[in-house]
Amino acid sequence: MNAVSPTTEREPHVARRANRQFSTVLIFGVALVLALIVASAIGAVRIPLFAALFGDATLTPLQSMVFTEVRIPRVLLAAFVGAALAVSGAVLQGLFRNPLAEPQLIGVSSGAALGAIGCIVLSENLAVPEVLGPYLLPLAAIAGALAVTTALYLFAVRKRDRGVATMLLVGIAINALAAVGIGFFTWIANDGQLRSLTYWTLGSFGSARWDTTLPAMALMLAAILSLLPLARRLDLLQLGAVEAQRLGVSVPKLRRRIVFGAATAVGAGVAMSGIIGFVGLVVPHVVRMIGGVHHRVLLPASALCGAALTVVADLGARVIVQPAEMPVGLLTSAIGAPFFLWLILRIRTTR
Amino acid sequence: MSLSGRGIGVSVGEQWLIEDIDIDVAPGELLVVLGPNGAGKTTLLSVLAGDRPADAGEVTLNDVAIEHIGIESLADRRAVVGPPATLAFDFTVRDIVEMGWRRRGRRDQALHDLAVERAIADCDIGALANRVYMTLSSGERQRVQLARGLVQVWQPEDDTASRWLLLDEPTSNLDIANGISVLERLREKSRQGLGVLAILHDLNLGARYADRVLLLQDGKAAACGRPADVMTADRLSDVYRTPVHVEHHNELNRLVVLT
Repeated sequence: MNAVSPTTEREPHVARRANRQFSTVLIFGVALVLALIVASAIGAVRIPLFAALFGDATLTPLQSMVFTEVRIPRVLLAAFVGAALAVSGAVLQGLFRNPLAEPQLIGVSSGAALGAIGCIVLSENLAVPEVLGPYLLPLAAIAGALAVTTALYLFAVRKRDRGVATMLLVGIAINALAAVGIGFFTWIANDGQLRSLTYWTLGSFGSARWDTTLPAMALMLAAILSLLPLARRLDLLQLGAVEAQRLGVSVPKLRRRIVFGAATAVGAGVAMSGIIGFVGLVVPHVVRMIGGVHHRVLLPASALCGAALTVVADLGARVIVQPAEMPVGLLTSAIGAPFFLWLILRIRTTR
Repeated sequence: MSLSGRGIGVSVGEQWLIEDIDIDVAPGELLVVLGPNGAGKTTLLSVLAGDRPADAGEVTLNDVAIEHIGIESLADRRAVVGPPATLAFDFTVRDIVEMGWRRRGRRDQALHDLAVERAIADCDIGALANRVYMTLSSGERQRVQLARGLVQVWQPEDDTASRWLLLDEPTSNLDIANGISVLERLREKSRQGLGVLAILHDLNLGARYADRVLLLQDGKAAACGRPADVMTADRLSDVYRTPVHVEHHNELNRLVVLT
């Protein structure tokens, strides 16, 4: 015990902080793996995963078909959407320096839904090249999300008003505007389109198929990976735009990358699954409580935690009312909305 | 070798906030900027810091126009200590101080720890290091900002490039003892080769610690030079529009300003 290792030379609380950050990412990583395994096995058709892997049981043709063609894409899509929403929530909270920023609350998800719905209703009348097919819906949703995020940023931040209230009020207005657009498209839609539309307003992973989800998952993965390296710059941005610039951060470039990355992640997610509320609000807060406020932990841990939470929520949506299925967006909002209320009350008392 | 402004001016519409100011902050000196409210002190600082371009004249760092220096390289060479920030999240004091660190190499970890611990000790915030920044008083926050600035301009032994520290009223929320200790620290750092520019409101602190004083009046330089030459009773009374007495205190052996 007389040798002095590099870790013991360091200040104990610095080492303790690094430890805490590492174990936070580890905990949520393990949680995600467990969630993925359980969610792939349980459902309307139960799949004896363990027995098939380690025992002598073999899957029936129906079981293996359900597993590879229905269950796996659905669970993966839920994981990707959860990660995308949680990371977007975390970076938007950092960008707006506001703990209440959340893709659904501030209207980014509605913008994406409007884009997606517009695409569903109008695309029959447009001649779209076959190749673009699977990308058209995500791209339309991303365009909608991008428009809203940019507008929001111009309204809420350029006015030098960092108040929590302004951003939420602008979000309400944008949500209202998007509702008008969605109402309009619903009105002009035909019966077949109407069924697809209802879907978007509630949120569900029920339609996951490999051919449609792969492009969207690729987009979400790219968006998340483009946001992760911004962690240190997001930390510095918390001091304010001017201070961050004095510390060597190109703030306009950082803002563009955040807005574009978050809009892509949310847009691609919403295009596949509709609006799934409050994941982007609840997850970053839970992660901060456990792992601290540094973005280099917050962003990856939020991705893992968001993915795990959404996979579990989708599992709940599939099994709670078996053999029927409830929309997963309903479930996340039922958990998230009371949490949001608690958060508002807490912020009001401490600030 | 200095951070210099030649004939710099900043205008908003027809109004010149500062006009035709020449200034040099040399490495190793402590330059204090004095002047009443609205004289243009903070505007001058923001132009020298590269936050905004000058509408007239030119700011140079070692003879290179400041707008031609990338913001990353600029951040390696100069730090700015502004008014205390407001944060939305619970960063600790140590987190804030560490935000000043610029070098990213893995080998720099030991140096990082050294610089951060030294700055925390220099600013006497060791007891606060693990507190959440937003729970501090404004005076405590101000010392944390200073510590972050000192980390940013930390001079490693293998690097001789000059560095500058620009401070906007670093003592405005501090008590007398803390104010003096901050100025002592700034003088000590300047003696080690740092170029320091500090905007102050306390004329006595300025008279006591400045190597040179720049006195601003209505956006123009009223005078610039050694404290004893610049800070005369007549000039200060005129600039501040209130009677000011200045005398040499023999026991203390320094200028004392009475208002």
